[in-house]
Amino acid sequence: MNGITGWRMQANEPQCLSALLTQPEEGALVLTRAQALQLLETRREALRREGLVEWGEGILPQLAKQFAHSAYLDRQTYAESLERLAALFYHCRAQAGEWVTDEHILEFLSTRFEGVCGGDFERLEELAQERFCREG
Amino acid sequence: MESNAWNMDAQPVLEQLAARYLAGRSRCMTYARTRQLMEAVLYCMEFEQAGEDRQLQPKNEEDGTLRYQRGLAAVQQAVRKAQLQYSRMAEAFRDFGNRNLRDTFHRAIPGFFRLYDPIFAPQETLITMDYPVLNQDVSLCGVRAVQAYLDRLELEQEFLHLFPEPLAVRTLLRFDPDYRRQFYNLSGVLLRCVLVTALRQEVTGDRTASSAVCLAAWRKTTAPAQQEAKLELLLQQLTAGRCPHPQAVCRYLAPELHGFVQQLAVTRQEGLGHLAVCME
Repeated sequence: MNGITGWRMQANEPQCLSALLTQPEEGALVLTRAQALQLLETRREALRREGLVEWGEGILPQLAKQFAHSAYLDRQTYAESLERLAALFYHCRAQAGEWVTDEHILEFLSTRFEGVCGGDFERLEELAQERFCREG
Repeated sequence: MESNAWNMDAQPVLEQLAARYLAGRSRCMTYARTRQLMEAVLYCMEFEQAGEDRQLQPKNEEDGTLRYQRGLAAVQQAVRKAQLQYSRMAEAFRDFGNRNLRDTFHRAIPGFFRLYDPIFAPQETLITMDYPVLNQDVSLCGVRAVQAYLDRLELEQEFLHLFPEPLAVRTLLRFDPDYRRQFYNLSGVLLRCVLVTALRQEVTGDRTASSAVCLAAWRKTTAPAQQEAKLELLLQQLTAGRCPHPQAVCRYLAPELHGFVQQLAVTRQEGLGHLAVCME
């Protein structure tokens, strides 16, 4: 699979990077270019680890936007948190069945993080594992 | 699939197919699913060109997309053609009570038509086609495998229709009382039996001689090369004017003649009666 995955990485990373650096809404957290590139590297590793190929610009821009107004993140923690969330998203994606949508996973992560987990990543990871391993 | 068959210009076709498969549910796909879709694209691209110029590499993206679309249309057309062929065969299909042949034709093959996915998995054969036709090409897959199988089965049916059903059943029972539960090819058995029956008078001068007596006498007097030539001639005489496609039937059954002659050479005297029985 190296040929196809290698090609796919190259094909959609500029697209993804551009979307990550798009001017955000007022009050939203933002990524620097260096942070966005690091996030892409995390994505690359996560896709490889989970045995996934991602098409188009991928989920990262939407993930970044979903958590850009989080009550539990700030400028210091945003980039690193997104890396952790990205790794968790791709793990859930690989575990859940093909009929579970990306939006459903994203919605789950976002609402639980802001709600019952109170910004606690470990708790979020536990809940996600329970939910998507059962469904997958 | 060979990795060197992959071409950057065919990848946009894969991307379109992946988008269609995912239908907006996700932006991600597993390696296994991606490989399956990649094989689907290549199967369609190769399909149209089988037997012609095997130039796999599309010259540009548009060329790749067009080749895929033409190939997909050809796959879908092949499925329709196979379904028509199946329906035609089903009208007068003979299995003589053999369970394997009956189940393969009446259950397995309709199962293929029900489950086959020409868009996302045209390369999958889905069924095992347990009844062994002669000279089955195991390198084929997808609808090509089923097409080739039906072609061989149809020729075999032409041959089997030469025999009244009661005669064929009686002969098979005498050959093997348990033939209904066996997994061998029926045409091979009936072929040997009818040929030995045809030889009997000529070789022994006795129309009631057993197959063992006939074969023992024949192999003493006739070299293997002449044996095979004689059997080919008898088969041609048997099928000419009686089968819709006599030459194709003879070609289909030819390997069985060769195998019979080889077995005759190595079978001990007491085993000759097991090679074939005369038709009564």
